[in-house]
Amino acid sequence: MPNTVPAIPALRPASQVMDLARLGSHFQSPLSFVRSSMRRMMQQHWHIQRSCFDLDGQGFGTAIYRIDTPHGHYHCVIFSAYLPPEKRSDRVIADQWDVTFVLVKGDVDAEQLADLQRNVPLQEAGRFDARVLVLSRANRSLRNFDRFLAALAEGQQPDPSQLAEVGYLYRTTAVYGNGKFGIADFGCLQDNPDFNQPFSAQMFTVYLLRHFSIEQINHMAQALDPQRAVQLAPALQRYLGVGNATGLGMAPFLINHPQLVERWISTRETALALVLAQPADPDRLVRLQALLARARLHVEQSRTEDQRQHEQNLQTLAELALLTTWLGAQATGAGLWSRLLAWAEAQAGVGCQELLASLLLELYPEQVTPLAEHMGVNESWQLDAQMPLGQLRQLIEQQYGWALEYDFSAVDAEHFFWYRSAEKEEPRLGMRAEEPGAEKEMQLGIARNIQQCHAALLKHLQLEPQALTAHFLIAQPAFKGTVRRLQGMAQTTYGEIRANLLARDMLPIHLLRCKLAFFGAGKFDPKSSRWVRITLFQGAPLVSDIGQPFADDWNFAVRPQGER
Amino acid sequence: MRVSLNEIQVMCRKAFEGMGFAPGDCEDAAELVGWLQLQGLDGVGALEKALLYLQAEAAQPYALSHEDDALLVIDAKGQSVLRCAATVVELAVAKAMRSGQAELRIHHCHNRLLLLGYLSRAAVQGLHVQARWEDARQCHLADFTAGIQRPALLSEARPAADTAEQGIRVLFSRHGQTATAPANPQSTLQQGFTVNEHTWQRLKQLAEHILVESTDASRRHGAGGGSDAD
Repeated sequence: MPNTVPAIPALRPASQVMDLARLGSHFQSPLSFVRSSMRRMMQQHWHIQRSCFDLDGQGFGTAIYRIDTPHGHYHCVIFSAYLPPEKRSDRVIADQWDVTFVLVKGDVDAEQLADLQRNVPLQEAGRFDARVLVLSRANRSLRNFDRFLAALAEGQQPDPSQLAEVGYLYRTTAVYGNGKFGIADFGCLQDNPDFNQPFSAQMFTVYLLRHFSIEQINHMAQALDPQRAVQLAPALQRYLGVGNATGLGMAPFLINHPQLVERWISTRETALALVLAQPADPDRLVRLQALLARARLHVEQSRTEDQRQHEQNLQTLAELALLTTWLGAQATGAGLWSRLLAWAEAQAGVGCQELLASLLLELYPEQVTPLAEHMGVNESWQLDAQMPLGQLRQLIEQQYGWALEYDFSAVDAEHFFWYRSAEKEEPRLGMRAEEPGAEKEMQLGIARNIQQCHAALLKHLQLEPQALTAHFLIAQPAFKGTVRRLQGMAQTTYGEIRANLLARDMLPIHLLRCKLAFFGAGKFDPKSSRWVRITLFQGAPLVSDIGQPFADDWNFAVRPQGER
Repeated sequence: MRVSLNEIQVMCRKAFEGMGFAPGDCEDAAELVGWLQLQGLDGVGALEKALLYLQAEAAQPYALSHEDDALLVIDAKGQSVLRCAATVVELAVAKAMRSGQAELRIHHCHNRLLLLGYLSRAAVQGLHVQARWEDARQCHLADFTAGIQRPALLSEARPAADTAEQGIRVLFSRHGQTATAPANPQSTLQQGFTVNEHTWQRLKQLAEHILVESTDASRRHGAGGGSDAD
């Protein structure tokens, strides 16, 4: 037999990968930020210790955790306070929360603690300095909180099915990093190996909230009935995550950071291509079958009232069953993973396909997980002023053909406009024909911008066929942002989300899900087309598990059995 | 008050957008203010002085007065260099990269000190950059060694009798060695930046121009928030 090395399959084309509905069907993977954060904690044996737990019987007060890593130490300071029912809101326009908290670099002295006590509960209205790395807040899931507390105080374990439905006691409503309200700029962390990856400090802070939620509920149950109360069982602790409620704010982020999106997506696609190039051996086939079974159960146990998401879950479940059957009849060897993905592409929807892609990434951790350490990018734009305008035209027509295809003379093509509300700058969507404010719209209509630029460029070329890009921009400065962006992004494969974000049939929730899946979210539970609740860290090791052997195998958590 | 670099850049970007800057120019101008601040040059203070002009002027394209392989002459028509000078700097840089040397002259422009941020990018690309301009009292020279972001600044008194030209001349040359630029010291970032509170409030007011008034309907439906009951 000839000694052939299997070629690395080509990356999937951007026309397929960057489709909005597909991006909106992503799942967590080993490249997700909660996974890489957890690996770092476990592999480096981070030490997390309670240094203050001054809570009353209702769980109100202050808790402080000290974190020691091989590279430094930090403190997480959490303030828990009574929240009047009329103040309870997950939206950015809220001004009071159940808990507010910060991750601080180094020590916290009495003076700083007093300062934090004054400012952290104010969130956006507070002022901070660069010792603070992350600022966040969260609200209780009242239903879970009350049920858990009642059960534990009576000496019972809560029903795990409640956690399958809503997988957390708290859900965060914003997790701020990068210089907001005076906290540390991301640049402060670039040389810090603990938190130099995107959102790693934020994800770690969310993990600490999960730990606090477990300690707090145990403390409250104990206070309620010291004689009968029991601690939450370890299996249920592991099954407990942290929720997050997210609105439109994530959408502008993805459009305004295409270089970061390019890095995330191209890393995922590169990892997938590496996996597809491997010959399937029996052990990994068994592993994939186990992962498929667990993922099916996880999806089956996901609950949502959103009809579209519910139907997609049902479809994915049915397709996973067929896929598992097909896979069971295949022999191991070269090309199996590619044939499996091809089968899914031919026979299943994007939900099933992207779930399969995520699971395939689990099979070769030695190849995939090192890539998770390179998810950051130094974002900058360089205008090529000297590029002949004719070449710029070619670039648009070749690389942005998808954007030129939309018909913007149709009313529905510009149905929506995105804007920032005067109310705490909350991002909102308005209907152009009915609502005021379109003249202040955010520049998220990339396809429309490209078309307008292309039309102006053609006119300029008629007058000055030899013009350079700079000449066009000196005459038409309004297009500089568009030109610089397209020149930069045309050098990359992914990055531009191929959708018209102004169209009537556009679903913003796809954008939210794409970003949240990179965070590592599960249990997507849309509350509207613009608002979603998710769960992070469900199934993750506990603080007490740090230092124990770690298999990095906690994704797609399923309901524990026999805890009641 | 003390603010972070990101706050400066975000606030400036929104303020520039509020003043009607074009997409692309907002980001460039905001980055430039942040760069000046990082270099210890009080970018926010320089911006405050520029606000007077920026708010009064109506944006109009610069005019290209002359261009050949080594010279670019621009008429900014009395506008701030923040408006769209970044593009002409890029064109002059490209000329210098190709032919070894190029000169950029911008006539009838304001806020010339602010141009330095754009010139620093050229220096980082490996060009030696010298900018000269004058005001009623002094002649100024900013000299960027190739590879180094921060210029050497020199000012000297000028003859009172002469009329100062409201322009700037910049010479870009590609020769000699390129120094290695030191990274921005993290200590600068960690200390944050002191800005004048009054200036910050002015920027905030300008930034508010990009916000849309909230209505009951937009509050209810615009963000699509779900129930908070649980």
